[in-house]
Parts: sequence; structure tokens; C-alpha cells
Amino acid sequence: MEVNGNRFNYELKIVSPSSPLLVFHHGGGHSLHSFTLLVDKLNYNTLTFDCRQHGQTETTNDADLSLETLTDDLVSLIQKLEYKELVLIGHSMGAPVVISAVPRLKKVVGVIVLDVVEGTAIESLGMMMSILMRRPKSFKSEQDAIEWSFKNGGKNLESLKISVPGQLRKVNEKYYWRTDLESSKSRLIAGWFENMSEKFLACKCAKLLVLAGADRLDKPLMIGQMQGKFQLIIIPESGHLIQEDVPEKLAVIIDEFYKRNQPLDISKIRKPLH
Amino acid sequence: MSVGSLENWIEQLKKCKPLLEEEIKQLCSMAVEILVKDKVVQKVSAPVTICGDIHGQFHDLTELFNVGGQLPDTNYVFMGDYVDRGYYSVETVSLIIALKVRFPKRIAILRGNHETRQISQVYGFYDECLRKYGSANVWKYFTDVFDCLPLTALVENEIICMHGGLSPSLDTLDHIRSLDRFQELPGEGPMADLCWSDPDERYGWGISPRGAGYTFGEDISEAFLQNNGLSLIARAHQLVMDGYYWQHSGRVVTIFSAPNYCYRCGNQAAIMQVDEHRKRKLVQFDAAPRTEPQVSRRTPDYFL
Repeated sequence: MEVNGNRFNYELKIVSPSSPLLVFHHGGGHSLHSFTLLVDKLNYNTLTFDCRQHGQTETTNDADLSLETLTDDLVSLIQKLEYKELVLIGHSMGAPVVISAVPRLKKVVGVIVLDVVEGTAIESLGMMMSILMRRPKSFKSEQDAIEWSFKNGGKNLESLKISVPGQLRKVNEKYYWRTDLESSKSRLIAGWFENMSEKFLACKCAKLLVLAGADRLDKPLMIGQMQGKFQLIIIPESGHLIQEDVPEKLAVIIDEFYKRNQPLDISKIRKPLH
Repeated sequence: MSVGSLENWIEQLKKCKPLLEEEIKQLCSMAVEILVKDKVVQKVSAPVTICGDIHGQFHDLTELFNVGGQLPDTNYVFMGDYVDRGYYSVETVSLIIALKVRFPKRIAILRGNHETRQISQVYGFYDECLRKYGSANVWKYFTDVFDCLPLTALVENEIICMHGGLSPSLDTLDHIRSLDRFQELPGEGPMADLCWSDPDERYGWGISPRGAGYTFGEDISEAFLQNNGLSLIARAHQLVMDGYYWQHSGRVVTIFSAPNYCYRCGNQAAIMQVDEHRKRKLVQFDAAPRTEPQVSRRTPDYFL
């Protein structure tokens, strides 16, 4: 898809004209293939794409990974499509992007955040940067990269085989990371997450936060959760790559979330008593 | 089991010292025997003090008893959510159950949405049992007790107490009485609604943003109270910054009794005292001064 002179690599799956469109934004360093297994298991219209400086997308200014630009890209892409309703799903760094896009789009019925919380993300920024610096710069083969990813967080080998090649680029018989996350200044990264919790709570649509651990909520989300402002689902058996680690489970969660947030039919919600 | 050793257990628990696994087993089986006799709508007389969520904040529960009065001099209704999130769910729920066993007529303990296997497995109680006892046995004993907890309390035919709120399937107290409560809390249906629903400013029934239960408007509260000859719905479940919050033109009050929830929310806590003349008084309290253990929060291994 061409948007403002930029060529975005995407996959659009249409199962039915009546289905809402689920739009997925991957996290930093990943690609649309992070959602391949999940999308396979969803009987919904879906859009996945490689964001700027990721996967096979080519833009005129790949270096610009600011939240504003990423949000502009997402909004422009969606506006090129026809849809009945929208559900936006963002994993990790993709979450602030979809949250920022919600007020700019029509017919958004739901927003789903996968395993990221502003407070804990910013708190662990230093550690994240050093993890990034310790990543191998290159691999001899895609297989090596898959094995490395399996030892460093990914739990589902079947998914990593599909998703890891999308994170790499082959140069002179070696495989390098497609995305230069190390040079993304930590200030830029902190900027992605700033006010994310408040912006999430302010979204007027249905909201779901899926986390891999219960102790990750920051203060605004803890208060919001205890006031019943959004749905929280914890999947302790998953790692950070929820959509890759437990795609079947997440597909069920997304399906139930969409169905539950359909307009209420009072005659159907009354349950017969014994 | 003599009253004397039960007293000893209570004294020990008041010092925040957990019982042995074998003692928990005994305590829980006594609790089941007592709780099965309680009704789904448990009748309570005034004077009584009504309390909301505790969530394992043991030192704040101690403060609550200091502020509200000790059993058996003060009668209590606890509206659920004894466990999860706080560091002392085991000690908290042990003490509350021990008090119920010791003074069954003086304290009513209702079921909250955290008094379930599904929720307490994920939000801390299960892990705490494992950490403190080395196995999941204690968690199993407690969750068996949870299956017997009443869902509502009725104070002097005036105030209906429940953890969450109303249900579109339950128009009358007799509807509630007809529920078969002795089971794991289902994910949906009337039992779940009582433990999960929230009052809302919007009229009618609404989809709950929580993903369980419903929201109900002032028209729903008014109709329920009128149909059943009641004057107030007292419930917990939602964090409110002052510890209590009135809604629906004084028909619904939310009571939250975990100050500075989860050691970071900065809220006050409250309890509601209903005296012998049925006059209601809300009493606020702050977090008890203490040093919490240095439980290091696992920093997520993520990001990007």
C-alpha cells in the first residue's frame, strides 16, 4: 500500500463483509509475521503490516520512529480501507501507536493492548537498553537467529520460525537486524510510552489489557482497573510475545472481547433461575 | 476443637503469624460447617459495621478493627475480596475465617470476585500460599471455604450488601435465595453478576468494561429497592479515593476498606457503621504505619 510516497508491506485478510476489521501493530524490531499464527486462528477481517523501518516496508524517512509519525502511518493506512467497525490491537511499542490512533479514527469499537504498561516500561528502560546492546549484531543463518530468539524470550518455536526471519535483513551472506533499535535514543523510546496509561483510560471504546504478569500495573492503571474502567486478562504462562507464545488462547480472548462488547440485548442477558 | 485453642489461633493471627498447614485444614473444615448454614441472603441485625475490600493488607485490617471496634463487641459484615494483591492474604483470610468460626452470629463474610480459584490463582493468593506453605494444599482448603460464602447480607430488611452489584437475572430477594451458591464462581450469570457488577451514571443495564457482570443505572437500583422494600445497596468492589462513594441519589454506597490500595494508589479507606437506630455513619481511615517486606517486583523482561 502506498501512503504519502511510502510503500507499506501489509497483509489484508477478508473473511466476511460483516466482520469488523482487526488492525494489528507489532512491537519494536518485529514485523507483521509476529501475528501470523494468531491471525490464522481468527475468523475476522484482519490487517497486519510492517511499520516504518521494519520488515519489508520502505519509506522516504526510515529514521523517523517518533510516535507522531507511526500514528500518522497507521491512521493513513486504515483510512485507505473500507470497514464496518474497527478493533485496534497493539503489541508492546505498537500499543502507544494504536492508543494514539483511536481518537483519530471512526467506528473504533475496541482497543487491545498486549503486554506493555507505561510505568513499568519507563522504569525498566535502562535495563531494556542494555538488553538491546547485548543482542548479537548479526547471525550466520536465519536458523541461528531463531535459536537465539528461542533462548531469549520467545516460547513458541513454531511461531519464531515464522516471525524471526521478518526481523532480519541479509547483507553479504550474514543476517543483520532489520531495525536499528540500539540507536533509537532512549528519550525517543520513553516518548512512545509517555502518558500511555492516561490515554488508554481516556479511549471511549471498549478496552482490554492483556499482560503476561500480574505485578505490572502502574498507579493509573491499578486505580483504573480497581474502578472497573477496563478489562484485564493475565496469562502467566506466556512470555512477552503473547501473540506468538499463546496464539490459540489470544484468539479466543479477542473473539470473546469483540462479542461481549456488542450492543446489549436485555432479553438475552436474563438467565433463567432454577 | 476447644474455644481455648481457637482463641489461641486468633491471638497468633492478630500478630500476623500464619497458622500451620494442619491448623488451616482444621480451621477451614470448621468454617465450612458453619458457612453452609448461612443463607445466600444472610440476615444481619443492627448495630453492625459494613466493610469493603481488604486484599491481603493485614496491617490495615488491624487498623480497621482499631477504628471500628473488636469482635464480639462490634458486629461486622465483610463484603468480600480478602485475598490477592496485598502481601498478607494468608494471614488476612485466616483471621477473618477464624473470627467467623469463633463468633458466627457476630460476623457475616460475603464472597468477592477474588474468592475464586480462577482469580486467586492469578492475582497473588495462590503464589503466596505456595511461598508460605510450600504446596497448594492451603490454597485448596481456603478455596473450598470460598465456595460456601454467602453472596449477600440483609441488614434489618433495609440494606442489601453484596460485593459487586445487581444482576439482570435477579429482580427480588427470593430470586437471590433460589441460587445454588455452593460452587466455584461462574464466569457469567447471576452469581457472577452479584460479585462483578458496578453502578453507573448511565441508565439501564450496560456492558461492563471489566469483561464480567454488568453496569446498572439509577433506574435499576430504584426498581430493585422498591420491589424489595429496601432503602440502600451497600457494595464494595470499586476503589474510591475517599473510601466511600454515594451514587444513584443516595441509593447506592460503595465502601472500600483497603487504604493506599496495593501500596501505591493513595486512597483513603472507609467502613459504614449502622447503629441500633439504623443511623448510618461513614468512618474513614488511613493506611497503618508499618514497614512492608521488600518483595521485589519482577521487572518485566520485555519490551519493544
